[in-house]
Amino acid sequence: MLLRRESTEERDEHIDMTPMVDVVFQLMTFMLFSSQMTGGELVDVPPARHGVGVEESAATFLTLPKPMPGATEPEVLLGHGSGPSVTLEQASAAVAEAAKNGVRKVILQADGDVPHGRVLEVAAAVSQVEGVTVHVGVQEEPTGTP
Amino acid sequence: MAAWDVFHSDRLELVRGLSADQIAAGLASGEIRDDDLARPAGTNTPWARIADLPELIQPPRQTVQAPLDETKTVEMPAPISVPVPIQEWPVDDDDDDEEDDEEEEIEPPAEVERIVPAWELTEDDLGRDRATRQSSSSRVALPVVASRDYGDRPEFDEEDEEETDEAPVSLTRAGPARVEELDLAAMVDVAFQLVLFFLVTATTILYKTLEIPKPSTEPPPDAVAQGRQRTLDELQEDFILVEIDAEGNVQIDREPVAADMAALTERLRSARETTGRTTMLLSADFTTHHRDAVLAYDAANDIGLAIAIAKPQAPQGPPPAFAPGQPAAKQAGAGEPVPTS
Repeated sequence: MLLRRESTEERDEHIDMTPMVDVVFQLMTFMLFSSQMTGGELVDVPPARHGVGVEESAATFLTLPKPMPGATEPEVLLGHGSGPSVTLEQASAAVAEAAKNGVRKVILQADGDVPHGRVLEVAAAVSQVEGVTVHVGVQEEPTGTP
Repeated sequence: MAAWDVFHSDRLELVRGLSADQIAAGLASGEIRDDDLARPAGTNTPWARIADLPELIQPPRQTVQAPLDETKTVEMPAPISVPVPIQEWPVDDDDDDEEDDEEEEIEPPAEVERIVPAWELTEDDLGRDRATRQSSSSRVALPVVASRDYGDRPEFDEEDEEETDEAPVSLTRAGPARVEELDLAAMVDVAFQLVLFFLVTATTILYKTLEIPKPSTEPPPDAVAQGRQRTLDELQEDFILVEIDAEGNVQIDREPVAADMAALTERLRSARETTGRTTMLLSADFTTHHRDAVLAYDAANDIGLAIAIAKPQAPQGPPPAFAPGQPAAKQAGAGEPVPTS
């Protein structure tokens, strides 16, 4: 008799999973709507209204960070800003190597303060590789911008 | 039949020479209470409560068994004594399904059987027997023994037995609730699978970019400024000329325009509609900020213009444009335009 009663009490102690499931689905919905599926730019690329999305694995990235005061010329970094500083020839060689593997897009992640002429120099250097298209990285315009 | 002296404790009155039957009748009528004191008449025996004297309490039961008394057999007390413990232990009747140990502990009934024949003792033996009866064979002692025995069963008391009877009812109530309970484990598994799926697929990151035409790798023509100006004038017939200086000032077809998206778009649209040109030629200083050039790209994309970029000439000497607040050099000019493919 008492054993039956205790078993009934144990059944009452079961955790109600319904609120947890509700919270999980709420979190999933929030993440789905809040994620923009864009990469985090390590440099302050200029905002733009238009643009095309390029997958990270389908492009070779070259980063032109914000020039430091007194620097002779802005450096070019291979990758997403964390790569080594390279010359134009080295950058062109890296793009050529990637083009052999089918990666024929080059994205120049240039800071908004980088000189326009420097961006074109890098673009002209990597354009020597046949079949390569050059893109400049932009970001979504801030909310409230007309 | 022995005579008894009865002391009414409530009104402090002594009545002498009452027989056991008279005392039983008084008890039945309420004239005599159980708390009243009694002792054998003419003796110095200490007073005892009538309730503690079974010989005064039991006679009414003998009247119940009156037909048996009429046989006047010696064995009569024993048959009489047998139902007495049974009546005094009604609780134990329900314990037939208990352990055998409980039956072994039920010794008081045997003790009662030993006492009942004592009713037939003579008056001289009453005092001696009473001492033993007060301790173990009194009517009060029986429930005491019963309560002790009752207390030896810590779990199975009357309440438990009552609840035991209700146990099937509780199971009946729990039945429907168990059936209605949903197994959410599978649902939680699916939810976590979806979470993992979105976590994995979210690693495919898209970068927003603007495609630009390939600049010419050839160095700009080493022409004098007047020659370049003439060249730009000629290009203006085919291209919507957008010039941006190092400070970010914008000119479209040599007319200044506010450097914002709406004004640029409006002037580019009007220039396209009036002249029919569909390509924008961006001629910016070398030190023009990249974001100003992107603004011109974006304005051209907004109205569907093709884009051509004139490669500027790199500044000679130290780059003064990198110093904040210092005006950029003016020697840079537009070179050969490269129309988009």
